[in-house]
Amino acid sequence: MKRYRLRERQHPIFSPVAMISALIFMLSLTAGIYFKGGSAFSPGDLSALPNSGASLGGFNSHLAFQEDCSQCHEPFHGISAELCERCHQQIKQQREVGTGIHSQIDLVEQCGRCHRDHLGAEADLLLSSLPFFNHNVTSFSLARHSFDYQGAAIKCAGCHQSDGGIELRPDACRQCHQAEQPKFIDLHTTAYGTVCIDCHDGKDTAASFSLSDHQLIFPLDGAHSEVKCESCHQNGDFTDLPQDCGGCHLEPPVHKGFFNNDCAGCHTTPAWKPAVLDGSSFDHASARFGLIGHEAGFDGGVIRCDSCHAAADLSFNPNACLDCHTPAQPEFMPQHLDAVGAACFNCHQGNGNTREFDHAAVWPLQGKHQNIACLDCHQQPRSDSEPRECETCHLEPQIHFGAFGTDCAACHVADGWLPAQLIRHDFPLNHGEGGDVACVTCHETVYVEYTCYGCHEHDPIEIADKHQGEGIIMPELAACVSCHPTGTEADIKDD
Amino acid sequence: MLLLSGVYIAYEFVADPRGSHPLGHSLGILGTFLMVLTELLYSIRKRTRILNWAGPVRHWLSFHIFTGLVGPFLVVMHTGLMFRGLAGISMLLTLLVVASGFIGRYLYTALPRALSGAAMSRREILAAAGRTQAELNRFQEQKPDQIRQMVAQFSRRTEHRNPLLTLFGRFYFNWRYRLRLRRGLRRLDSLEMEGRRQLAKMLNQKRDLEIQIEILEAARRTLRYWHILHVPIGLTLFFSAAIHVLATFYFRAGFFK
Repeated sequence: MKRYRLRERQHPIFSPVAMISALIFMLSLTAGIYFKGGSAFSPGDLSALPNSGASLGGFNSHLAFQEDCSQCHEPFHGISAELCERCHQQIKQQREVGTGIHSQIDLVEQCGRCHRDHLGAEADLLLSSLPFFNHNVTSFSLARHSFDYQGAAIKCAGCHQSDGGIELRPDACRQCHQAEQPKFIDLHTTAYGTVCIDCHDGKDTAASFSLSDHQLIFPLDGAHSEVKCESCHQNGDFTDLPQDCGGCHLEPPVHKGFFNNDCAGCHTTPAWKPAVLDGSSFDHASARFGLIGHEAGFDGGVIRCDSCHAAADLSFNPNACLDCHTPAQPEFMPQHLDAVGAACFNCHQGNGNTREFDHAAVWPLQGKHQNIACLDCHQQPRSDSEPRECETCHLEPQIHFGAFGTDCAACHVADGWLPAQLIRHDFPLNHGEGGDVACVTCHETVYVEYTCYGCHEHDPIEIADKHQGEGIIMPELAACVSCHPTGTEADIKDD
Repeated sequence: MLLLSGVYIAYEFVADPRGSHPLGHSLGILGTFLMVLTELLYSIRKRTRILNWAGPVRHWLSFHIFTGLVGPFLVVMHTGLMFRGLAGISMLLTLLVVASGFIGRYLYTALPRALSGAAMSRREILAAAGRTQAELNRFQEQKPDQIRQMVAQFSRRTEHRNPLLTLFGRFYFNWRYRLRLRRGLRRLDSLEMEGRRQLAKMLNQKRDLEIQIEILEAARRTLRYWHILHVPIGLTLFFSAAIHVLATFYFRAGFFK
């Protein structure tokens, strides 16, 4: 059998061969690190994307100083804002004056916390920082914009430019909200414009706010349903708006301070008028006196409720009419009161029938009629149907009773009954060829009757036959002037 | 390792566990710590008397294998499977050391051990083989020819086989031998079951000892060469890992940002 030589086992670590081998390996490794420089420790290529296309600090991108770790890393201190801002001067200036996003970020001096490089040449340091970006440092919180209407997560590109920029897309808000609330967004953008972030900070509850929600806060019924949003929400103010009527509506001067502030006690949202008083629809005219003609006082000012009524119980002040009208109409009112008394409502209903009344337009008060008392004619108050004929007031004198008729104005004037003269005679008195004819020629017995056979040689039978041939019957035949107003045969009135 | 892989894969769904990520960095630190333990504690127990009180070496070897597997696995996860620069070289060295460790363990089992775990000398092996042969001789006395022939058949060794081939192929050769032996014993109808089991045990033991004698020198020599490879790679790994850790502090990376 072959004899084996037993040898002492050599220490594996401290054996010369192992130590020499290890030394060679380590030296090789050290040499490799030396020649590779910083890239031996680089976990990945630096970004090759330029910052806004501009050269900063002499470099177009981080990749340009790939081998020089000291551009960003300070030994045993890591990445510091001081190093970064040697190139990124704009950020430095913003931080110094407190403007821009970077001045709002906590621990901003640790640039590498957000802008992580060594992710490859294609990596975008701006986009890759977004997951670490606290959107609350901007003027728009994402508190209510984490998910869209369908419950899907809203990505950055949902609102911002997806081509590398972070600017908000002009249509970002509208694109999403329009699809869900088309009518509202149309109205809203028309009223408030399309730059949503001027008003919205992302924290409000508008995203889930509906008309029914508005009803819980302030019911939009009646006339309020027609009001535009901006009428109440002025300057984009959607909070702390007054909910009492007085917050938007000025109390009308007519009853300012007269009632309490509980507008709804009398008024309803469909319209201010008619108001409700004691449970019933109230119109001042229904209280026996309309306010037509009482919109303004003699001085042009408002006639307030308390001008006529007591605030305590709304009772009417009996002196109210005189308190106003007497000073304003010093000549008329005394005589009016003397004539008709102070019970104004007996004649006046506030319907506007007296304020602009012109007696001359209805019945001229001329001559002696100017001095008569109103009640001489207007014996029945509140009547607008007084007769206007002379004989209703003046009895026809016996001297010509039945002789001249009741067309008094044909001979008399308002200045006096006498002297009387024929003022009006429609039929030409010079009818015929012998000058003015004598009265008796036509008026044989009384002046209210006439005959044309007094001077004409007309034969009544012949005339009757002739007119009957024209279809004119006997009762009409006696009223010759009706058809022959000037007495001539040719001048015939058709009707 | 399956549990670690699950945690890592699950975490990858919610974040990017790069080496510089808190999770990735933790994996690297823990993995390196386990790898240091792998080398340090086992070596201290094996080569000094400091830890003699702490159980037999084979238990430390089990712990050494456990940390030697889990530690590098954590380091591989720490890399995020990115191979680049010094960190990539460290990862490569880690994989080499682990692979080398597997081979070393295979060679280690080729050396016969006493119950205490200490390697047996050639003399001890020859003595054990002689005892087994005497036992076998006693067994076949008064036995039918069929049994004698079978003992003779299964006692024959392949001649002129390269010891290195035997060393690295011994598991295969053993499997093939035991398969043949089982078939042979099945045909041995002149021996009761207990006798067959006894015979099989003696033949297997005899063969194992003969193989150990054949490969003893080759195994020792190969293991020596293995050490020359495994130890420098391991030392270089720790050297590169140390630079890597130093660079982490220098550049303020990972937890130290």
